[in-house]
Amino acid sequence: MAYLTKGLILIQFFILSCGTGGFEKFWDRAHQVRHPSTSDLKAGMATGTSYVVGVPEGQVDSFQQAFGESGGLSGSLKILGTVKDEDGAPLTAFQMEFDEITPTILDAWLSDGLIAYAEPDWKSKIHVDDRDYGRLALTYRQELSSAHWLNQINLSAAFDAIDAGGVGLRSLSDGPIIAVLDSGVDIQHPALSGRIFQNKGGDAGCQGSFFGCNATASQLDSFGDGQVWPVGTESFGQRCLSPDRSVETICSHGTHVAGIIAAKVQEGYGGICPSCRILPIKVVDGSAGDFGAIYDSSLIAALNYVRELRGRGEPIKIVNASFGKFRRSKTLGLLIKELASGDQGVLFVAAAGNENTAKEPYPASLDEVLAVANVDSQTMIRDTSSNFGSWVDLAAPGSGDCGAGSGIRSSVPGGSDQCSRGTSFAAPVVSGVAGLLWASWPQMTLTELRTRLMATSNPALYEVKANEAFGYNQQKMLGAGIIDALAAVEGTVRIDVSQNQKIRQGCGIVGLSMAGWSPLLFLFGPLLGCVMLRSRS
Amino acid sequence: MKSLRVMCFLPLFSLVTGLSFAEEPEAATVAEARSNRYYWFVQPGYQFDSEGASQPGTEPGKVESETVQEYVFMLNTGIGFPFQGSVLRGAIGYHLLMNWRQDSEHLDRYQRDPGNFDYFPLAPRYTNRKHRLVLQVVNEEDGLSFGLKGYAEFERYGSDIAKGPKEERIPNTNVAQRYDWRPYGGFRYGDELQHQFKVGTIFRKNFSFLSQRETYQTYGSGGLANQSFDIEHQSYFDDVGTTVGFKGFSYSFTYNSQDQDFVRQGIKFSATNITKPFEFGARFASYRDMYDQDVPGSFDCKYGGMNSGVALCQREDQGALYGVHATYNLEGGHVFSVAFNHMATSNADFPIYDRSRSSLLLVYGFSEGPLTSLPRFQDIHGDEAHPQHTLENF
Repeated sequence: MAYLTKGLILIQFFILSCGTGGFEKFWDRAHQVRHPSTSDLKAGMATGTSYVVGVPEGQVDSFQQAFGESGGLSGSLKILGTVKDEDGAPLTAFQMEFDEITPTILDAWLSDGLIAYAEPDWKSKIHVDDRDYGRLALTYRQELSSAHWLNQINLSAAFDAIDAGGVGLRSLSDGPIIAVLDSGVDIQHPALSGRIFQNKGGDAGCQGSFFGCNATASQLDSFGDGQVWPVGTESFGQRCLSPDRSVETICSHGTHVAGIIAAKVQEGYGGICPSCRILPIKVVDGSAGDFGAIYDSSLIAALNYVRELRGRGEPIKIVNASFGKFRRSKTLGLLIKELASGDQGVLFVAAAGNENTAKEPYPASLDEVLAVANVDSQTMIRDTSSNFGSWVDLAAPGSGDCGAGSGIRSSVPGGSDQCSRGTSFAAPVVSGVAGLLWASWPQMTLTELRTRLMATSNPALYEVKANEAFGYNQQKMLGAGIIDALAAVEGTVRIDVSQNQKIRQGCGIVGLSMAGWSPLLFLFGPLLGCVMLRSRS
Repeated sequence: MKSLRVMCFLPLFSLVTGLSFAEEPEAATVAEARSNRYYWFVQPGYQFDSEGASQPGTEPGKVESETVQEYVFMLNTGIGFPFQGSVLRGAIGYHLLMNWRQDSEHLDRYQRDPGNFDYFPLAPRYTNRKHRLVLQVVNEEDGLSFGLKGYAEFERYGSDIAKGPKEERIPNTNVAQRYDWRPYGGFRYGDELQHQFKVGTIFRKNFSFLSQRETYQTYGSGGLANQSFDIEHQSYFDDVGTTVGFKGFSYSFTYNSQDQDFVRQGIKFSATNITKPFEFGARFASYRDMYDQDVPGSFDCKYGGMNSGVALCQREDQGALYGVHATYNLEGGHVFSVAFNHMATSNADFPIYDRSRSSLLLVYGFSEGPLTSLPRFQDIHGDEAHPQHTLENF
């Protein structure tokens, strides 16, 4: 009996479809009012408050009147033009912008014959080639005009400059890889699709490391064989569950950082370096009893992994470290020094920290590391939490209005986004600009890259009254200036960042240029001579 | 009288160079010392360090206190050549100071898998080496003395010997180059010339190859303002075999970054008793570190985390040092020593700068030559003239 009923329904369905113009027409009429789904809203395909409606001829005045008289409704109504429905009947298309979502009233108007259909004002995305910087500039200008942190660093103009100079990458696969040492990355996030480095060349000391590496599992092997295990974020799953499945945001921090660097254009945010790829390396411990800890041994294992991949020829040019502590590890310092040596060394970028102090954190205050402080993306005022000091190299936006609070808007697990504030999110701004610069000038050495980032930064932040205390007595405690992508790409030098160290190697007040043991001759020679003479006397 | 002179200048020498020569006031000892043309020593030891400091908390803007334990195995060796004229005496030597510093995490790993050479605590690639040339010259005549003592040192870390299976994980690296020269002058007084007054200065340069922020010197080209001085008075009480000392000091530390510059001023009391075959010592120092440049702080110059106001605040840390040691001298140049030191620096307004360190040191030494006392060849008492009382720099 059940089968018979279902069969009759199916037959009726086809009869109805054919009798009213076919299956497509039936389907369309069945969806004369369409609302965006939750996933549509989350993906930024529609706003939920903007619709396009088709109004039959003769109903235009009534519709406009109904719109104006609809109690509680406010918004705007624009005539888009005329269209014809499937039967050739003329319709007037309107764009309706509500101040709030009102799905029910559309159904009522449809029933009253005031409208023929309504559908969300769908938002399409331009499929921009990651190497087409001209289109990127246009897209960023049009769609991310309210992203103040991108405006502050002149990103769109930098894209234009790259486009005009024709210095973009030869191919995307040549783009720099930026290692994100963090809490893991949700690699299934739509914004990061295609932006994650895929390790196709073998484990590199980290078993199963196709999408990065979980270095926390290797902390017991900090100097050992590097038996680091696959990532601990549920195979880098979308939800990034903790091992005991109680916490779902363990990789939120890392996903946010990765998005700032390389996210595709989304509603309200986009990455700074579209041609960069992210190498996720999980260093934040996720074990239940030790959640959030970052062991030096994990960092050492992570950097060994970076070295293995670099030895294989992978262009890992930048390491982003949005963490720090006040204790220095000699081993970690030596590893960073080694990786950052030479013309093709790695650029290390680290967060200055959020303790509102001048005390030096590590690794940020190491010589080889670019330490990044956090300033407001509109006012340039130092964020009240940002650390400062003469060890800071650069400032970057890490706070300020981002539409839904203060901070930088970027990706978070689950395909979503949020605003987060702190030097953790200022550091990837610098990493992104560094990646963009390197992508534009791949022949640039590490020293040139580092010098250019600092020398082209914007020192205007010290002219802001609230920042005066951080720049007095010629001591710049928020770095050379605010990172500027345009000036960096164009090489517009604003600041002399050459260092004239008071204390140099060798003996004497200011030191001699000689190295090694040679200065000892000047110390021991006269003394020994004196001793010998006096002994004879 | 000459024996007293020898006794009084040698303790200071030991502070810097780690050497202690004949301590006995008998003239025979000096004669014996003259007959020795060289000295050498070997000194294995073990040190336990516990260091407390503020660390960033798990919550943004929060600061938490954290304590770290480290274990240091050490092996020091050296050879030197004393010389003594009518009024000029001294010694020159080469000392190799090696240590292997590990934290508990590393040692736990090794204990779980003792067959894994990568974690062997004394592996060559964990070796910290200090090649030190020491020198002391003192000219003493009619109660007046002046001299120079100090060392030049080159520090390296790691080794290419017996590398790990993953090649050069810890490279052979230059760590620092140091000079520490301390000229001084003084005079003796008292019936037995048992009291001595000295004025000295320190020319120390620590050039770090690892971090510019650890490069500093205790002198400058700006005249006396950037110079380091100390005055010291010592009295020897023959009836109880005890030397009591007082020291006042003002040390200036100049860095490449002006915000790091500071002046340390303080006083130190010390007492050393020699009751053969034992030696006991204790010391206490109190000091303050006054930073040359004001640092931006919250509006009321109190550490308050996220206060919005900013003011320039004077930073002044208060510090204290306590130390005791005991030494047992056996015949034939064998010496056992134990020492404990505790240092603490605090800042009531900016507690983020609070730090403390406790060290326990056990050493055995064997020597030949005019070294009848071997309490240490590293500065087991700590050094109030050292800017950072950190594990790394100790």
